[in-house]
Amino acid sequence: MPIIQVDHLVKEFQRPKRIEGAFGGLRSLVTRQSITTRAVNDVSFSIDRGELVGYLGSNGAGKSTTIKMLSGILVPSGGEILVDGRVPWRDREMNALNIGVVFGQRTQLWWDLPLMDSLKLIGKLYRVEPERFRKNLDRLVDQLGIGGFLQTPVRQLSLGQRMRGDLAAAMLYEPRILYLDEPTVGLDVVAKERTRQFVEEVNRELGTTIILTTHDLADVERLCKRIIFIDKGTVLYDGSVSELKRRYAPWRVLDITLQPGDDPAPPVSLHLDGVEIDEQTDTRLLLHFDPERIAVTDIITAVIGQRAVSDISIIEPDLEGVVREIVEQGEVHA
Amino acid sequence: MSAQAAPRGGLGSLSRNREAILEVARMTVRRAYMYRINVVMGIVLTGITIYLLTILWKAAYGDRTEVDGVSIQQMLVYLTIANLQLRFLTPEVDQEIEERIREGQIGFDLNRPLPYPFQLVAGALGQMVGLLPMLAVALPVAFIFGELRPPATVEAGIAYVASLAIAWIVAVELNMIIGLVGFWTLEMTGFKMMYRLIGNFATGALIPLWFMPDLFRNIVQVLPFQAIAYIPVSIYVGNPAMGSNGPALLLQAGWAVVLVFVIRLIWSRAYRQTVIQGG
Repeated sequence: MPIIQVDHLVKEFQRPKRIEGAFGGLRSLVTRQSITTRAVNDVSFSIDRGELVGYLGSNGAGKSTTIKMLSGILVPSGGEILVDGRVPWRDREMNALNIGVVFGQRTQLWWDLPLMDSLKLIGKLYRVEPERFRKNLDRLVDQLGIGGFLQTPVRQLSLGQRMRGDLAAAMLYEPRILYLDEPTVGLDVVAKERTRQFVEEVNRELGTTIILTTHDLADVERLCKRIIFIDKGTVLYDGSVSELKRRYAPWRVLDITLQPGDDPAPPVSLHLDGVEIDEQTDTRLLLHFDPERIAVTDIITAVIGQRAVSDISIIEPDLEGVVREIVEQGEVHA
Repeated sequence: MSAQAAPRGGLGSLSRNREAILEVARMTVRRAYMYRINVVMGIVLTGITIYLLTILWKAAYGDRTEVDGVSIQQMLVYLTIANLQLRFLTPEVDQEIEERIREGQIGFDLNRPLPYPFQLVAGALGQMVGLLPMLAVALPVAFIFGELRPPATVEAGIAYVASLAIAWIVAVELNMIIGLVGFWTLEMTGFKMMYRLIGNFATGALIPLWFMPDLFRNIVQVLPFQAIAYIPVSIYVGNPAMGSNGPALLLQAGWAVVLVFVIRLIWSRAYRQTVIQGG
C-alpha cells in the first residue's frame, strides 16, 4: 500500500506583470495583469512504505515545489496528494509530526543557539517523551558523530557538521517519511559519504520512506533503486535506475589497449552488427556497442584474431550522461 | 477515502502544545539575552524621549498646576510610565516574520506541528520575559529623566497590572497582524514605518487622548492602539478622563478578543497564500 499518493498534481504561480517603458513601474503597480507560470504540471506517482526514491531534475524543474506541496507548506493549484492517508496542507499539524525535512541549502536549526538547544526544542515541538528523546539522541550522536559539537552555536559549525546536525534534528522524532532536498550539496567527499551512509542506515534500519532530490548523481547511484525524473514540471521517467540506463543509454564503451607490433600494424576492422569504432591508434581501440545485440566476447574474439591485446575495460554509462540524454530527448519531444 | 476530523488551530492545539510553547519561549529568552546591548541602547533612547516630553509638557502647562482636571504631576507620571511601558511592550513579531520570509526560513516554521501564530506568541512571550531584567536599568533612567511615582491608589495599582497584561496581548496581536501582511507583500518596510508612526501616536504615549484635538481623538478612540498605552497608564495615574476603571478594562479586553478573530481570518488566508522565496 502506497504511503505517498500523488495524482495529477498542478502548481501555478502568479506574479504581477512588469510593464516596460515610460512610467512602467507605476503602471505595473496599478495594473491587474499577471503572468501565470506552471511549476508543476500534471505530476502523478505513488511511493510505497520503506522506498528510497530519487527525485531528479534540473534547476527549476519543479522538484522543490513538489516537496513543498508534499510537506504541506504549499497548497496545490490542482490534483491530489495523500501522505500516509492525509491531505498534507489541510492536516498540516498531524502531517508535520509524520515527516522530517532536510534542505541542504538551509538549516532548520536556530542559528545563534548551541546545537543541543535546537535539538531539545525540536524534541518538545514534536512531542518526544524524555526517555525516547534520550534514546534517539544517543543513537544519532553515535551514528552521526555529533557528540563533539553539541554545545557549539550552530553558526560556528562547519557545513558538514551543520548538515549532520540537521539530519539529527529531522530524525529525532523518527518520522515515517523523510524529504531530503540536496542533502550533500557543498559537502566534501568524506562528509558526502557519511551523509549517504546515514541515509542508507535510516532507510534500512527504521524503514523510513525517503524522497531524495539531488544534483549529485553519485548519491542516486549509491542509494536509490528507483528514480522519478521531472523536467519543466512533468514526469519524464519513473522506474528503476538500471531500466533507465538500459532505455536511455544502451551503449557500453569498450576500451582496448593493443600491444604495439614490430611493424606498423594494419588497423583493426570489425564488421559486426551493433558495434562502432570511435577511435583507433596503434596502441588503442575505443569502441561502443549495444549489449542487447552483441555479446562482448564476440567483439573481443574478433579483435584478438587481428591483434595482440594487453588490456580491456568495459565502461558503464554514468547517470549524468543518461540525464543529459533524457533532457535532450524531452526537449525534442516538446 | 473518508473525511478525517482535522485538528484545528484552536484552544485544543494550545493545550496539546503547552510544553512546546514554553520551550519556544525559553529559547527566545536566551536569545533576548544576547541582544542586551541593543536593549540598553533602546532604554537610553526612551530616557531621552521621556526627558524631552517632560520639558515640552512643563512648558505647555506653564504656571498652571492643572489643565482640564489633569495635574502637571499626573501628566508627567503618565508620560514616564507610558514611554517606559512602550519600550517593554514592543514585540518584534513583525520583524521576525519579515526575516523568516526573506531568508526563506518560513518553510521550516510552517512545517512545525505547532501552528505558526502560536510559535509567534511563544516567541513574543520569551522576548518579553527576557527583557524584564532590563527593568533594573530602565527604572533608574525613568526616575532620573522623568517623574516616577506609585499608582494613584491601591485599586488603581491592581487594575493597572491587569490592564498591562491585556496591553501586552493587544500589542502582540497588532504586531502580528502587521507581520502577516508580509505573506502578501513580501516587502513591508514602508508599511511597517507607517504602522510605527501611526501606532506611536495612536497609543497615546506622546499625547494622552484627553488632550488630543477632537478630530484625532474621535479617530483614535475607535482604533485598538489606545489599549497598548493610553488605557493602562490612565488607570495608573487615577483615570482622570474616564473616571472608573471597569469600562476602560472592558474596552481593552474587547479589543484583545476581536483581534484574535482578525488574526484567525488573516492567518487562514495567509496560509493559502504562502510563497516561499527561493529554493
